[in-house]
Amino acid sequence: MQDALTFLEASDTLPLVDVYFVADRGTMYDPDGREGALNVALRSIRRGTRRLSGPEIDAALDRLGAELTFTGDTTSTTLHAAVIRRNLLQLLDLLAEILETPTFPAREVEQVMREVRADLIEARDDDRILAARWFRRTLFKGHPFGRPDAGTPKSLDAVNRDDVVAAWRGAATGSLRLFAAAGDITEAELNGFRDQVVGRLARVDVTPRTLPEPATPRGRTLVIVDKPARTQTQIYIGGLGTMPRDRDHFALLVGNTIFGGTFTSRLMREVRSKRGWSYGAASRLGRDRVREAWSMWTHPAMSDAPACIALELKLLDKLLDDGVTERELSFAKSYLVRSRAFDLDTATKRLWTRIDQHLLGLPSNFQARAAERIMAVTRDEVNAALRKRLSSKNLIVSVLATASEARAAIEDAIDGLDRTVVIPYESD
Amino acid sequence: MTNAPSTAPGFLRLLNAKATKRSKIAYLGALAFGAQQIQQYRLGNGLKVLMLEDHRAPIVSYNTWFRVGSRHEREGKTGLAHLFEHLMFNETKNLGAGRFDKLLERAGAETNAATWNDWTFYYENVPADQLPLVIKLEAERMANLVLRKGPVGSEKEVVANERRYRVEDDVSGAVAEVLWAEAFKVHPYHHPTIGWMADILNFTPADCRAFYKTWYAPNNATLVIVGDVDPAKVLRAIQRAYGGLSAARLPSLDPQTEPDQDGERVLRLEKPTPTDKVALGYKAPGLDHPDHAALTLLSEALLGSRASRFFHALVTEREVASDVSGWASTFRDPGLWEISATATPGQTAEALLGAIDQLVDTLAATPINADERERSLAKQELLLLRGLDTVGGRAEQIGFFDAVLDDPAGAFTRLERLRAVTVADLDRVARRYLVRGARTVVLVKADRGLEGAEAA
Repeated sequence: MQDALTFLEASDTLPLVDVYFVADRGTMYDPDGREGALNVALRSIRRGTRRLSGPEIDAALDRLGAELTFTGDTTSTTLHAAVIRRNLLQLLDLLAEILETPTFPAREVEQVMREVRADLIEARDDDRILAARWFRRTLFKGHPFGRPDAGTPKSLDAVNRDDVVAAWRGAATGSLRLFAAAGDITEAELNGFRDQVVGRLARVDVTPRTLPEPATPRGRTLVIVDKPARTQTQIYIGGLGTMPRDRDHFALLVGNTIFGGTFTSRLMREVRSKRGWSYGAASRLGRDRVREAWSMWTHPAMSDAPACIALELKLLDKLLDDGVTERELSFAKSYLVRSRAFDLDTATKRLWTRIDQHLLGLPSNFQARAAERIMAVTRDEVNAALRKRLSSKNLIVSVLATASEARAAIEDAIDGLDRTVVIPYESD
Repeated sequence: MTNAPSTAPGFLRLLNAKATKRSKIAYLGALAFGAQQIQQYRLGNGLKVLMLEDHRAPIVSYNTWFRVGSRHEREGKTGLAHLFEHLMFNETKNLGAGRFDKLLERAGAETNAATWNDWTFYYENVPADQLPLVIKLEAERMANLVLRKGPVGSEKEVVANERRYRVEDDVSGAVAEVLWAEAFKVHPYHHPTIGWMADILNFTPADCRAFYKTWYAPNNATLVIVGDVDPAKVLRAIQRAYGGLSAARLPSLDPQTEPDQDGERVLRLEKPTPTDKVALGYKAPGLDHPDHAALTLLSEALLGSRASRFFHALVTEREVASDVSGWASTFRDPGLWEISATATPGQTAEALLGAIDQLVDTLAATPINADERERSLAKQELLLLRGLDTVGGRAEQIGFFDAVLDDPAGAFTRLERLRAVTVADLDRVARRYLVRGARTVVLVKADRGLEGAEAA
């Protein structure tokens, strides 16, 4: 079964089992204008099977001491169930039923749609999510990474039950399906689950979509997500990073660690330790099959935001102009290599390292060789990667703030600003 | 959970051969912790050490729990315990600013801290071979923290920023703060752990030095060490690093008991949020009270999952709420059983409160049944197991129960208590604690203009 692999990380440390079904199809398969179809499908799948109603499934899960979640991102779909060991076999039977015979009752699908709409509205309470959302939407405009995974009220209006059923079938019968488990479970139990499920999922022909390379942003774009009565801002600044397959990925990872990847990084030291401007200050390098985002995050008070943005841009300029020092390089390598112990200390983490590697199409020894590759990175390679991949001239600055109070000062703080876009915070 | 039979390990005789009064290590016995064992020790200066060996991965979690939190603060000086969570990463007598973090990060450590009403704790998760460094650094900052004007001022700004993030600009944070402040009039649970903004901005280095001298002492701390350790080597290192520290004279603290609430308290807030919200706080017992386990199961049965009674009725059946959740506070002193609910767009906070009250009223005629009890118990068991997955999770569980209940194996003691809860207990605690006259209600009115924008 080439398309239905099993990954197992057995451990009897605790009487607990985590079971995963992962498919390599995600929200990028949602039809244009009907974004959110897969998300609705994943929330609806537990709302009824041939034998059980939604409330009966919910009660059965509780009775087993189990939890069940489904998530869909741009490129993958994941089911995760956690259960107390003594109830594993009953849980696997229940999961098989949910995967094989979801009925997507029209009434339930409609209710899920209402719930998703309510969640979309509720998400407006989270300023950090709003700033991050518009950073990504602007950076990845026209690219699948920039699509709203959960949809928008408008796109949900266009989604019907057929779209929902098609979205689930497309994901569940993707070109690659992983049946994975960590914890107190045997290989025979996992294989039995896979064999039970995989043969009964009817294959659906879905034209494979290629994830395109995202385009590099041009110039400096300021996005102000305008929300009233703010005392502080949420700020994301950045552009594209690397993908793990890139030859300079580990060099950029080391460079990012020096810049904003630890509590003593340059960004944290300058923004938080020296000036006390922001409780959080970090930079992050995303990972996917194509170049993902590189971004820095801070959340200063409204009055400190212009100076904080100017400082962040200056720090980025300095990083690209002067590069990193040998001392910083040695420190970052030591941190990255030694802290890898915590990427692998539980069965679930070890399992996800393997799943992640597989989904990203990386060689099977990629993670095993990561420490070696980090240690081999030179200062010249780090500096070259930083200059090649990051840009202080072409980037997005996304700021959640009260625009009437903050806009002019923030625009003044960004030298060479090419454009400003103001987005009302309730925009979808 | 009974203590496992235990005798003092032989290596203690060697360690104590040349020990001073302060550094002499006493063996306090072993405690069963599930299938594993916690070994308990105490140094002469009062420092408690709890150790759980686990050699399955070459890592260690090192926790330092101080029995001081916002419960120990006074009016006008709130937020000091939490400020220390920040200050403790700064300069010490023998380490310049930033060195503490730098050394630990170079060692590959995960490090952070947390503060709540009853405690403050610091942790490092490190590769096992780096444990000696951690012991040295933690002992250094327990005894030699330097509190100067500049760094204290900078950290006050950071905390003010954290407060804006978690409270001023966060609806749920702001509501929780108001709920507790209204529910507790004399007990220090009235104060938010992060502190009132005016207090945060007014702290002086002298305030900080006084707090440090009072509470950061070996006899007010417990070390919890879980992972790939050699107990004799670890205790030797602890003895050397901490054995010279003096015990402090700890204040005998007896917070004022909160008088019985003499009627429902209702507050109305208006917030820039898209939907109405409701927060309820029923007076609830402390964590060590015999009713706490039953109340926890009741909360799970009513609010803990999609299948729970209130969630099902409010979110799935009536669709008056988009979310509802509950939590019986796990504090040393009596606290609150919180219920939080978010109205679906178009619903009012008052209507949602009415729906909740209606459900509460039906409990008398239709108490929690055996199936609901079983389901709630299974969910709690899963929750416990998930908390024990990592060495850090186990260290935190041990430290938490030691700090709040003086019972390092409290997680498992609690599981036994949960298992002993009957449906009659659930009915009894529902009647005893779901009392309208002893509750506080916060009704959050949404900015109607914003909701109108969505409807359009």
